[in-house]
Amino acid sequence: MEAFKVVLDTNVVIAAAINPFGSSGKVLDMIVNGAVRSYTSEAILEELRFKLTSEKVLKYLESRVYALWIYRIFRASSVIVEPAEHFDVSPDPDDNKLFDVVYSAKADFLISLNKKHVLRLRDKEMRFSLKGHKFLILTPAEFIEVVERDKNSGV
Amino acid sequence: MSYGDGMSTAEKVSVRFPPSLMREIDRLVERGEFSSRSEFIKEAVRFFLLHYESPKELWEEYKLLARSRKLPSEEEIEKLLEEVDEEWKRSRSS
Repeated sequence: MEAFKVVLDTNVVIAAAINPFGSSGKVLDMIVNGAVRSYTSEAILEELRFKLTSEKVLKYLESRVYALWIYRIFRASSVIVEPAEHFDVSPDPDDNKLFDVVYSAKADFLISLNKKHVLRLRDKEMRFSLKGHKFLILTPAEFIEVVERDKNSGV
Repeated sequence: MSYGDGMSTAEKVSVRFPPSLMREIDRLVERGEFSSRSEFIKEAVRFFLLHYESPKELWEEYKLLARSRKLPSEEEIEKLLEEVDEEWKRSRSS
């Protein structure tokens, strides 16, 4: 069976860097081990790099070197796309680049911790649609549940 | 003319850098630590290859190192993510 295609919000990667043993860390585990396939873009990576090397985040990571490790781990484990189409779906324009990648990669999931905007965009069934492409917007914990359910149903 | 570092057979590559990374490289070149952008990039690649580890190896090593860390609560991480997002937005508007 083909691996799930996911797009990660930068906040999930940062949460994984701060606590690699939490649900965000487990999502990064799946990406690094090839259980799910991550898609991203240079625009998302630029934001990630800025945030990971912010003094506020470095306080938790102990060293700038570790911040760059995480950047490299995520970048090298993801497929980088150049979205041809750009969307304007979020009240926060910064979030739109995530949707651009979801559509470009025809991803199955957008994983985010952004309760203010991204997670609010989904319907009651946690779905969202972009020009006919349907996908789920989930938190890392919700995504892990879906993966577990999928694993069990396949047995 | 002979080149000690195999320059006569050196290949030319064209690389695109994000502006933020370019600024950091230029800062070190201006400081005189590297004679040129090209010199910096060659040195960086040599260093990287010397210390190369696959993403999987790096992630496992990272998790081992993080075991000794005091991990913050979910609420603390949530608050931090909001603050860092504001910082990012400020940097874009300035």
